[in-house]
Amino acid sequence: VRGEALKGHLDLLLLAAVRSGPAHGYAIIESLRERSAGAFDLPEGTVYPALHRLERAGLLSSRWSVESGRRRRVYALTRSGRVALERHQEDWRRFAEGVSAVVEG
Amino acid sequence: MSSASGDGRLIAAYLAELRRDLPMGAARRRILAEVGAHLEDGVQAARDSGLPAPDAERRAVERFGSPAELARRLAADLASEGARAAAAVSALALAGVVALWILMGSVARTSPWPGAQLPEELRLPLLVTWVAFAAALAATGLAVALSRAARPRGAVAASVLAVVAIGTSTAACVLVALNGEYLRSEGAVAAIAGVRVAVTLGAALLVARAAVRVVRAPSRREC
Repeated sequence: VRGEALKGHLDLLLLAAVRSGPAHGYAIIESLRERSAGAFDLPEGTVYPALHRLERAGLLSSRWSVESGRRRRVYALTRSGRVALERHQEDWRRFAEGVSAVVEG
Repeated sequence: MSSASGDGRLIAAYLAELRRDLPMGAARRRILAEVGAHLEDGVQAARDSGLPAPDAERRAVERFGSPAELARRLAADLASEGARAAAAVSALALAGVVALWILMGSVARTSPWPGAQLPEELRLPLLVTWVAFAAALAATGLAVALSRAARPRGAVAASVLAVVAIGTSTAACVLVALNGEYLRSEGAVAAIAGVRVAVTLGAALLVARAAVRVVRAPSRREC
């Protein structure tokens, strides 16, 4: 999937990637790639600035965590992030239904 | 970044370039640690999939893109952080100097409040103080509003104006404090004026640091 097509949906994807629990950047990228069956292979140079921006906006929180002897920055949804995710999801459903109705109808 | 021997030099070179391109501070340390850990994960995963070490390193580094571009994108976020910090410093400094002004007024022999019968020597500095307070309040409000509106350059410019206004009011306060014959307690007034000068200088230093960070960052954020 081309980067242009993902513009505007990056926040939704990143927030959704940590919905089930905290994760570090590498795991978030892997999770998006696996869950999209390889369609969303987001470059790190795009993901990290977006994660930092979402954290500054209060939608994500982060902390250091040591796993297997390696220190990693782990991101989690905040309460505001969960609300934003639900709103983004609703917007996405309407958008997808609209596009689908026009394109396939 | 021409080395591709698989001994970690490619990653070290990448992090060194990123370090050079980011402004100094806690945020830079965090970014370097985070990117470094991610690169190690990437190399490990690529090696687990069968790639030789040099190729694994090259692939991990290439996924991040150029260090300058990554720094540019991250610096845009750091600029927003700097603008918010500058606005917060301005607000705290203003609250601090107003509190110190009220404290100074409570120990001064001559009331500094508007409408009081003032000695001739105090009229101008007190007028300057009140006007400067009003200007600082307006500039701080503007700085907070612009930082919330994701306009870091405007926000930091307003913060600089606020600190200049706070500095003007502090200079006027020092002039008032020097008129010791009108004051009930010269020592207390001098101490309060000294604390106020320190608060003003500290705020000026912090806002100047934030301004440098914001000016060095690009004016538009991309994501």
